[in-house]
Amino acid sequence: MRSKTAMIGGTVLAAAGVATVLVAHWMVAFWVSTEASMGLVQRIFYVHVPAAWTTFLAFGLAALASAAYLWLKDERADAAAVAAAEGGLVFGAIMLVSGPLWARIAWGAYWTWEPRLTLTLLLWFVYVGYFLLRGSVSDRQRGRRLAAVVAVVGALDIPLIHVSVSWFRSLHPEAVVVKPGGPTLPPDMLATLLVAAGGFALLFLGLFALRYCGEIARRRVGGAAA
Amino acid sequence: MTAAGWVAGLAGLAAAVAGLAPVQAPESARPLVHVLLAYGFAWIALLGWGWRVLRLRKPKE
Repeated sequence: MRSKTAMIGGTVLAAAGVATVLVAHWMVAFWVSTEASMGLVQRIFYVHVPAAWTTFLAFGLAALASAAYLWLKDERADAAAVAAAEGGLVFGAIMLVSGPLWARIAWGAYWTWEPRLTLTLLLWFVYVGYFLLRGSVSDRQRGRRLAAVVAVVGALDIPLIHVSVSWFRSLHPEAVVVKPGGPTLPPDMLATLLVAAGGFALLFLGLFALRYCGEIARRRVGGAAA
Repeated sequence: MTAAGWVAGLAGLAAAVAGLAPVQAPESARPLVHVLLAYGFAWIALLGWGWRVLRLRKPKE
């Protein structure tokens, strides 16, 4: 019964997420003003930044669930960590592809090994390692425990990524929304960004809930892989 | 498909996008090409995950 509720909740959240993302796309295409110095390519901002925030949400959730698994040894916490980490890899891939596409026009190069970009790539690879480790240890319980440690340690990179632009000399722009003095974006850009971020967050939470239910059901029938 | 295979597919797709980006589009069209590639990749990745989630929702007995 509880699983059915989670399934319905997940479906509703995912559908709301798709609808919100479509509204955000309409705002990006027809409503928001074009940024003066970068022009059209700045519109990648509305997919890049929401993807980054959702990645941090997903990996943060994976780390919390992994910590709960290490503490309580509850299979449900491990299933939640798997579902969240999988979502984090997807949104992380979107962030890591959209960023260089923007940078090529704005900076003249797809990639530079500056602190924020390097730490973000490292975070993504840590969670690729999370899945590789689960699959490579023959003792399934041990593999899950080791992967949970990787998830917790890997998430320590998230606050470092946030502060890296102010701690180190960086090519990446500083935060324009999450900063002590409040957002410095024009209102239409801020509204578009927040709608896009809300859509991605809803979509992630919906698919996370559905993936969690699937993972639990898979383990119940004994077909769990890693 | 296993999670590792799925991640490899996603990485391959990212590489394909990166390969597509420098096509010899006219200089003036390049920002639009990059915007479309960014949003296109986002949709493909999200639809891919959505498909995987729906497929794994009901495990085989």
